[in-house]
Amino acid sequence: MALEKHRNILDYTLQSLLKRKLKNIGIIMVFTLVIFTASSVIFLSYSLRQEARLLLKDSPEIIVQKMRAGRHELISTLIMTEIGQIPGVSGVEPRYWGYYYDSGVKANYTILGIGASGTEKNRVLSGRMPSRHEKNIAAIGRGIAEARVIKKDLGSVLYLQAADGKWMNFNITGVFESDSEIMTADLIVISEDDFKTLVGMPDDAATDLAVHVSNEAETPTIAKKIKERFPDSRPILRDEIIRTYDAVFGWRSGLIIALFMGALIAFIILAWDKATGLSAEEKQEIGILKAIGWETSDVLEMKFWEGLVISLASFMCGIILAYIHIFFTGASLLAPALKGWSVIYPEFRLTPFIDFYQIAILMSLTIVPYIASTIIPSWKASITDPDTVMRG
Amino acid sequence: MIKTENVTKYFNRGKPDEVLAVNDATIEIKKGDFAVFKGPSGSGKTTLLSLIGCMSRPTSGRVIVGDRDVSRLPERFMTEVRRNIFGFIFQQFHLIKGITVCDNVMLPLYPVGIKPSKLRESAALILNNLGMSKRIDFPVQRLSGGEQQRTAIARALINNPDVILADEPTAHLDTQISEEFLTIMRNLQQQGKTIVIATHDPLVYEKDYVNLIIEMRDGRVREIMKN
Repeated sequence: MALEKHRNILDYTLQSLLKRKLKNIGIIMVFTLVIFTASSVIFLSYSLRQEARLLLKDSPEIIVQKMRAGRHELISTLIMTEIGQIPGVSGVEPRYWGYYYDSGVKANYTILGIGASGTEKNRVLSGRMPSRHEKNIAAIGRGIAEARVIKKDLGSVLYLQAADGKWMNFNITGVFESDSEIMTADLIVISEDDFKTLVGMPDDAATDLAVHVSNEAETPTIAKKIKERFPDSRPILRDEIIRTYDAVFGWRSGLIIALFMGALIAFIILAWDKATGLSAEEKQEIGILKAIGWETSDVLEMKFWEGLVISLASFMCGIILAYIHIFFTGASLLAPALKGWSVIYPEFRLTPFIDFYQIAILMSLTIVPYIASTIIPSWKASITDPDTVMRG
Repeated sequence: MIKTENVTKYFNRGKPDEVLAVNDATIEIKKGDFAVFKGPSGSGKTTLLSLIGCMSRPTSGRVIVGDRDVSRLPERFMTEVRRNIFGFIFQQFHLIKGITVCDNVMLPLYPVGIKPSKLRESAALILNNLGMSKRIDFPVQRLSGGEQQRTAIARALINNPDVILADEPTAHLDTQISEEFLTIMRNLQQQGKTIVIATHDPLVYEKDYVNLIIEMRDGRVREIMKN
């Protein structure tokens, strides 16, 4: 019997919502836009952070760079042996990487030289990577192929100008697939030897050193020891990089939220408008319902369902659209603001990571106030004598 | 059945627009009566009707329905009395637009918790008795005035009330439809229901089956005539 009562009231609520189709569709559209925007930002920034964390999971615990006058400089590989002798260090290897500005397309590329360990192997590569000493071979990201208008087919040739002014040509033996574009869109992988020739790097130098430690808890101590032994070095901990990523994406999320403050304000005005009064028609309807035998609690239940149906429908629409936008269309609307500053924007598909805690907060900050703004004015009308409400 | 004792009702009391709508009204309506509150506009008959129908509370005095003083009942019990004892027919009909005739009729019983199929059955039976069977699934806003009134009557009858209260029911109807309405009310009275109508239409209060006329003016009960 009690269940039938709620079903009947819900049934009437749905009919009541359909009566004011246009108004309710308008509310749902504004509400959906707000949820879509906020949840898109949440999905994207959280996924990027998670991607970054996953990416960094396999990265070395410490990266050692050489600093001169506060500026990053090439580091000597001769100190590798000494670092390797520090207790707790399980391995040290040189890394070769740098940026290449292509004035033709006004884009920065990331160039990586394949070292001895070959850890840069990527399982989302179509074709193959160059080996450590292989000359004039490259694996490239799709973004580079598009920027340079070269065929993505294996066997095409990429030309880069070396430090000595001569042009170097690279046969493309591998292209990174789109699933990895967050990491590889602007990436060119060549051999260690070619890298050194391209950037004019001495044989005993590297861009930085990757230091692996046996016990992660000892990382800060080892970093401290490296700094003591090599005062001109800068050991960077993996955790520091993760924190930097978090801060960067957190800041950018805030920026997007600020840009969409207009939509949020529209929503607040809408909620405020609802909370401050009922239309004459709505008041009269409450008066009629009370006069024919509905209790205050019945009217409030109806208004609760009304608020819940509209806010939940909008919330679900907003969340689903945001999910499609972020994880199926590569965040096409937000990407330029959130993904970076490169000319070559990666067109990647993010792995769907959802922060349910943030979604729950968003839910409580939108659905709950909306339901409250629907119920409060109705409560005022429904505790008044039906005769007074119907007289207006 | 229904009594008021020295009932007074103010609107906006203590404010510049204070109105004394009913002043010291004492009346008694017995079960099975066909009672009419008669008087010009602003005489207080609609307010007195809403006071005895538990739609508002008196400023002072008592309203007794059955053996119960309902004037100070908590809101929830007022609703219960309203739902179980009274059926209302309003001057403007006050049907909910945008929904069908049947849905309007079923509305008072939605919170009772009856299955929709049973509700529909009851509504269809009443509408059929009122000659509205072909209009069951019509949106109410497309009905004629007479049909709207019959829908309002059906809604007032769905909870099988003991008392039917009607406020100016013939105000917007032509003579023929008004007569039809009064015939329906007369039949309900003969079935044992108490009818109370607020009106200034002679067509209503001149009927010989009206056995109680309460004449009101300026909020006061001026004369009570019993047949």
